Amino acid sequence: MKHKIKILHLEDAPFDAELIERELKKGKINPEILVVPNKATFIGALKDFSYDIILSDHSLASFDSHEALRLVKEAGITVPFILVTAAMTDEFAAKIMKEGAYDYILKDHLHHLPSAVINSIEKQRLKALQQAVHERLVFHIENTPLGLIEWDNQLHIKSLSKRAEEIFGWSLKEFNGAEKTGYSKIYQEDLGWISKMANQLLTGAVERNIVQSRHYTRDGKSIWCEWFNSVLKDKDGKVVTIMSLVQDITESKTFDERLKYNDTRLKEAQATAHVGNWEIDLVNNTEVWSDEIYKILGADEALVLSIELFLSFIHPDDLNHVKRAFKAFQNASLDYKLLLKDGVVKYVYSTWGIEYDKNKKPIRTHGILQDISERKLAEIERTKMVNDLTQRNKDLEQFSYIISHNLRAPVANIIGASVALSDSALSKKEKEALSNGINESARKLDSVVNDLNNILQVKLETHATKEKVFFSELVEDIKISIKNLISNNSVEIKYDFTEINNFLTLKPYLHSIFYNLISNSVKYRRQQIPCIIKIKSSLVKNKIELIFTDNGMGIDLKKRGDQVFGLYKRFHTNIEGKGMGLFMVKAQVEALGGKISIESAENKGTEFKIEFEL
Amino acid sequence: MSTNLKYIIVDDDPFNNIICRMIIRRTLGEVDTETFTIPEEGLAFIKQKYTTCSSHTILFLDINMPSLTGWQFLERYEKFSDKVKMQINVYLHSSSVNPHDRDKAKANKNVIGFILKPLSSEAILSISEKEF
Repeated sequence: MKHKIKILHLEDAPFDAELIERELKKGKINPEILVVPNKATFIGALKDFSYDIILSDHSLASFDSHEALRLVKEAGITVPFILVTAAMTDEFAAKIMKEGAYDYILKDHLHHLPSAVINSIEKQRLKALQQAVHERLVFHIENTPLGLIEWDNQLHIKSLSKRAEEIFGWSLKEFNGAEKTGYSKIYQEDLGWISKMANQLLTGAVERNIVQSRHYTRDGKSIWCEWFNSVLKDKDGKVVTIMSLVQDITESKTFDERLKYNDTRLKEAQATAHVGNWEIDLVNNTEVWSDEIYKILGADEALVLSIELFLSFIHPDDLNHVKRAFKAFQNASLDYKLLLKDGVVKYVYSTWGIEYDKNKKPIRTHGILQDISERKLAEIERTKMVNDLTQRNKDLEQFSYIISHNLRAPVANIIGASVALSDSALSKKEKEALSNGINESARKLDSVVNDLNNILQVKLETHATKEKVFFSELVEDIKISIKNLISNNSVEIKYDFTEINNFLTLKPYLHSIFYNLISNSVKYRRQQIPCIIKIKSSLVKNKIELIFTDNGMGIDLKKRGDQVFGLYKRFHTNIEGKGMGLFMVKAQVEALGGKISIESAENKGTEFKIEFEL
Repeated sequence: MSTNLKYIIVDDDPFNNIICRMIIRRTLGEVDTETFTIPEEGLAFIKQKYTTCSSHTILFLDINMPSLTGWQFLERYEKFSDKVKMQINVYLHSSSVNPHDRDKAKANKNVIGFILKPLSSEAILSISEKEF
């Protein structure tokens, strides 16, 4: 079986052409030959080219084989080109082969020609096949999102696929230009560990790795890339090439980063606002409790929170109403207290919502927990302050009414009496009574003004120097100053200051307090029985407690309890008094930062308790 | 003007009571006037006297008194029979300028009015006119 081969033969010697045709037919070839003798006919034949091979003599009258080969290449013709010539040097042969000739045959050895033709055609067929495979491979590589980069063992880029160029924007020349290696295109922060990873590959420590890193593109953006790197070694095991497939993952990375960022921001916002959130999937039975909830509860992070566990943090005062609200399975918001494991009480605000499926079955519940302790405590403090101020204001108002009343009473008497005096019908005795009355009223007026002075003095003198005052000395002094009162009546004063006998304070005030309480007990004693006054001091926590007890007339506190310490309040018509004593005692106790309270029963006795902060 | 008109004054300040007596006498001539410095005694007098006899009386009642305030006096007075109360018109008589006292006086159905001390002839005349 003979191969049918179409041949274009450039030859200007018809004898040689015939000789060659005969030689080909001798081989296993059935040639179909067009012989062209010059340049013009050769160029004509290259148009609409349909030959399997070109045979060419070297030197023709008009041109030579070099030019012929050049024309063939220019026309994009890839069929084998074989030089068939009379004689040539080795240099010439090497040169023509380098230019792309498949083979050369000397006219003296034409018997080699048939096999040279067949081999060349076969060689060209394989080459075309290889080319097609290569082109397909390149096509694939260039149409994946992966860029392909090949590095030498100095990390110079050897080749760069089109896609890789698109990712970075740098051409191969620019990559290896001024900077020599690809390192300068790496994001600064990543530089250190990337060079470590690259060294592991270069030293052969690892054969392949996957790396995510940031890089600068030609237009100055930074991008995230994922690299699949592997090494190629020569037969001695030395690394010659690193092959990298690289993908731009900026978009997904940015998305991840944003998720992470949002999560961080959410946590920060929760921490700043002291708000935690939780959600419970009632279908899948999963629960999520945010970090801030743990913080608010003061719970260990290792603790796995659940509704039941959460309820155990709620203050017993509020547990029932929170439980009730929760079991109602409705959207709700409420304030309540927490009692933490370390005994700390926190105020929180909670609001939650319930989601239902189309059958109205609850499927998800979610809510927030906010620590409002700061605000709540400030609110409580403020309410207390407002109450205190309101009370003080009321007291002051009361005080001014009382003062005005007590100033007006004698003034009214003086006015009334002076009107009455103008009655000419008055007897001498009546005139005298009026005149005495006016005098007494004027004195009363004066005494009220004096009282007012004393009261105001209490508020002014609190800055005076404090001294150590011994209770027992105080009582002994008072005993001497009211000696007559005590000895004329059967009065006994007992005291027990063993627990604490002194107090750093303003002595005149404490003296006045002791004096008023003791003299009151004497004044309001029961006539039928001996008067016994007991005074005892004790230390309770960080307070001094002074208790004055007597067995006197007592006061019905149910009736007049609110007025005991009132200014000009008197309870006994038959005993001398202005209603100043207890008012002054209370004012002075309070000026010293203390508190006074009273217990009393009619015809049994009275007990005053005074507390001072130490 | 009826001659059997009576005055009762309950006030712990004896001098006030003397002045009141004189102003009343000066305005109306000799009138039957009772004064009490201890309110309990005043109550006892009213209870005893007014359940048996009948006479139209004006009561001047002080507010600030040590053993029994004017208000406590009125609480006890309230418990008296209507027959007693119908005969007596109560006026609070005080030197208090506290509006709270005036409001409280207005709100008490047994109190006709509030007279600021000192008592004057004009006040007595205006009360007498209203009474008859």
